[in-house]
Amino acid sequence: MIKLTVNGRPVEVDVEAEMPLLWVLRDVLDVKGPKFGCGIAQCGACTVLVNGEPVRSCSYPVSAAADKRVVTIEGLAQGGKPHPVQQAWIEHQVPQCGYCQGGQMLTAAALLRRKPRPTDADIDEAMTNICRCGTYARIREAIHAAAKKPAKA
Amino acid sequence: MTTRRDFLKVSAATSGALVLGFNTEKSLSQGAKPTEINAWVVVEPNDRVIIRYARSEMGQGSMTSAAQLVAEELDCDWAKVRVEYADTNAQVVRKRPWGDMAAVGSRTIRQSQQYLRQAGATARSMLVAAAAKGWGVPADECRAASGVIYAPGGRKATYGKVAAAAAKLEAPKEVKLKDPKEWRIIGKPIARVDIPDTVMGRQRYGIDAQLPGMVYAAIAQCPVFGGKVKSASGAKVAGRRGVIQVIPMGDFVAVIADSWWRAKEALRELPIEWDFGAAAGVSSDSIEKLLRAGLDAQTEVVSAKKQGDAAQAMAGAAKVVEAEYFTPYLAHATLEPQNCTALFKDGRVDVWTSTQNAEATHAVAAAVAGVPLENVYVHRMQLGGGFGRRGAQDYTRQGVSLAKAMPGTPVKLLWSREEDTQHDNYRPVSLVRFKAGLDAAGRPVAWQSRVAAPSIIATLLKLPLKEGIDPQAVASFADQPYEIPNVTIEYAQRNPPVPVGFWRTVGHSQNPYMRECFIDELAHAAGKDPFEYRRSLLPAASKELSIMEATAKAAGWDAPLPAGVFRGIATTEAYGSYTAVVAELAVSPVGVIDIKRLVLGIDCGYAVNPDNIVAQMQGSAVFMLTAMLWGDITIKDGRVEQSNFHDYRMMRLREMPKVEVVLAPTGGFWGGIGEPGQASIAPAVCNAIFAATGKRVRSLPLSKQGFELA
Amino acid sequence: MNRRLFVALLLGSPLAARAQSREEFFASFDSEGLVKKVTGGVAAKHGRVRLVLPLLADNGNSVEMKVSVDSPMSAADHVMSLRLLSERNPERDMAVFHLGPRAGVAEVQSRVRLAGSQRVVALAEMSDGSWWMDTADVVVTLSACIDGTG
Repeated sequence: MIKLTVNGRPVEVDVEAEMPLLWVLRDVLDVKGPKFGCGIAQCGACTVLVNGEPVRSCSYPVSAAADKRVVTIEGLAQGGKPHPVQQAWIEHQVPQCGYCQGGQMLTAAALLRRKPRPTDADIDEAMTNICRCGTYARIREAIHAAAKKPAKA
Repeated sequence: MTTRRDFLKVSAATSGALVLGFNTEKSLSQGAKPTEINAWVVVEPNDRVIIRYARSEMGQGSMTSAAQLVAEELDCDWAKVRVEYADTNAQVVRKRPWGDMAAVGSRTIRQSQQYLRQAGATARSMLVAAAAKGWGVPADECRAASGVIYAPGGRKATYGKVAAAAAKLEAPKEVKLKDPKEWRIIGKPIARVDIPDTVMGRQRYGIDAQLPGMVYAAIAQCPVFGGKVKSASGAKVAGRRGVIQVIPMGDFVAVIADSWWRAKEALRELPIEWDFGAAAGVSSDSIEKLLRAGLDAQTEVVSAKKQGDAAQAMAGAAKVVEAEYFTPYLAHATLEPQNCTALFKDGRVDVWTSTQNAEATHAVAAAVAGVPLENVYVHRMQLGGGFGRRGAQDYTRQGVSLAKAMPGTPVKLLWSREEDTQHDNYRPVSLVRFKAGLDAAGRPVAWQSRVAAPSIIATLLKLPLKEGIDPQAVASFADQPYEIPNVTIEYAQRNPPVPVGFWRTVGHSQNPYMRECFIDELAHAAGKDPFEYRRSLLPAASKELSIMEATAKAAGWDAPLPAGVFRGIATTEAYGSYTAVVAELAVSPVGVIDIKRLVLGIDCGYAVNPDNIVAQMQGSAVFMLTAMLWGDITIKDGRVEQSNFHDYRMMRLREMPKVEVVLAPTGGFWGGIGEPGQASIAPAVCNAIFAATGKRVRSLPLSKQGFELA
Repeated sequence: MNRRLFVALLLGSPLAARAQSREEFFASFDSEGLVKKVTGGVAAKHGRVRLVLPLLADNGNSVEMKVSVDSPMSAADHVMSLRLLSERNPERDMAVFHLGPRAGVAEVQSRVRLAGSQRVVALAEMSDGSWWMDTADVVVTLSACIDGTG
């Protein structure tokens, strides 16, 4: 049995140690926020936060998440209030198809915790997730806007 | 004009809350029934309005724009609007009240704007008539605004109060639509109704379908096109945890398990024998040879356009310019791989999938399951990218076949990225020969083109071609805007066994690149500035000319550039809109391209949602730059060599250059938005590369021509 | 990076170029004209013939069709032939069924090939020389990319 916390909820799963965290979340725990795009950690659609750090869950065995705090896009908002990143994503109308955006927002939230006022170079370095619809310009704008918001998760 | 943020603030002031869209809120108060006024408009007693959307939302924003068209004429309160998908089963039972459900060809708005606006106006008219009847006053003394009907003497009634009565009235035969000057919702940068769900992690894509007792299917399709399964023995994987069954299905093998990962891992260990078939000998080289033979062939060539006598005019030309251009196969690479969840039970089929055409999904499900159309239920999901991939229903065919093999059990079929990359219907490869004759003043007097390329219509749609011409293969050649008196366009249809399909912007994703680069070659041969040359050849009233001028002006075409930075320009029509691009870039001596900015101009006639149009232009830039820089599907031994994002490269955030959008809608017509933005990008960039280096890029991708991105 | 939005409101001529609506698409098929080519200029009356085709067809290759005619099928009063006509297929005559009083019942079930969404015509020639017709609209969903079947 592997124990971990998902979006604040303690869970126990009886699966193979090498089952990727992505599939434990999606198929075992019915947490659909993290998406499957490539399976080889190239695209980042599967990004979740593990103890606050962005992780590509398609290539991360669930055993490595034992006793850790996993946060998916569903868990980014706290107390029913959207995270500043989510507020900025809506105000700047960032998503197009939206499939990559859960991963993008979590990566952005983690960046802002590390660097509350990121430069464009910081954003370049942190935001490596693929967006096939090409929303990069708005992702960048929204991160700058979120950085200016008073409240932070 | 109002910015999106201004509009949101205004709405917040009136509604008391940020207008996020209410698609997830419960819409009904206890026991109240919504009333359908017509197929597109439903009004609830609490004054909420449900506007139905027939097509698919894949990020192009049409779900919102289409609703804007209805809401405008309906004169409802946008803050009370909720958009819902029209049901495909009802579509069949009610004999197609919602018409076309396909989101293809950049035509949701331009094809449906008339009947959507009419539906809104008709519903409004009935609501007003019901109120008027209730008051005993003439309907033309009443007016409606923001969901409220007013009559002289201070009378008012909200839509919810009169909806039931309105639904009983006969719909008026004719309704008058608003003059565009009166529009208050159309033309505004309204926030997309589906974005809040996406941002809060509530959006559900085809891949997210979840049912009790559901099993998962991972498949392997024959790596060689057209091949079949010879044998697949499940014995080796039978004991693996969670594995339920192995099902060979003609040209693919499925492993069924209690989770997708277990199915996929088992599939890796499954020994499959393939009968590769005839295509095993095909390669990119053999395909190029086939196309080249088409360029020189005397037979199996048709004329797509014959104007004047190009051969004669060529013979008398002062200067002749010749060139060959090539564009490769491209994969769609939707970020959500193809998938289909289906349940076949008691003669009924339920399907959940990401599709660009719910009716096609419906028809295929019925055909594969062998049930009447009335017994099929297609559940609408958001698409994780469409780009033309999801009009075809190969995944639906497979998913329903598997469900039929396991009646009573929901089966979720999901393709791996490798399967998705290698079993696409690709943007066709194309090899085109150009020859133009210039007079002494440098004006083109003769233009000859021959296209050697596959036909999507003949091979994917299996439809007969009128006079052997596939309009997509010769798009923007046969219908080019320049005043050239003698033009011959020929088409040599050559179909390698690689499946082809509609890739975003289709023929206009490659032909304008070739045409606009070749026009640049003519400008250069004539010693003229590329912008002035085009100007001299475009008719004075042409919309290509006006958008090109607007874009060049916005880009400061005549202003000096910093040392080492050069410009390129291109213009074309596509899907009813007129586009132009100015590219500014520098190229290092070893071919490293630094794009300083792209200025994208578009004239779409009426702009329903300006902010959404800007988003589509920005996204188009990334999509097309990705394709022209690295996009290349190559074939070896009848197989696609690329498999995932490590060898089919996608542009990342740090690589996206500055993109400026010149939105210059001239009104009076309805042009498309999802695809046209791409059409002028590649030639503008390649023309700038020529200006910078003197090197003509006649073949894509750039990475194969010695260029890389800074 | 700034996203600057230029809005240039240029006055243009009101060229109304719009895509067809669904009614227009199916109405654009000249059923009456198609019929006259077969009858030699005689118009067919609507009625007595019932053509049943599915609303949606997956790819048009093999679409189920049923035609029935209200006729006593007697020596004095019967259906001589039943034709299925297509304006969009390469071959106009999709099928011809020669009946006559020995057929007993004026009803045919078969499969047809449709080259894309279209309005199909069923045309019956009666023993008294009159012509009767019915039409049915079929949407071939695979051809949506090039159709306008709004």
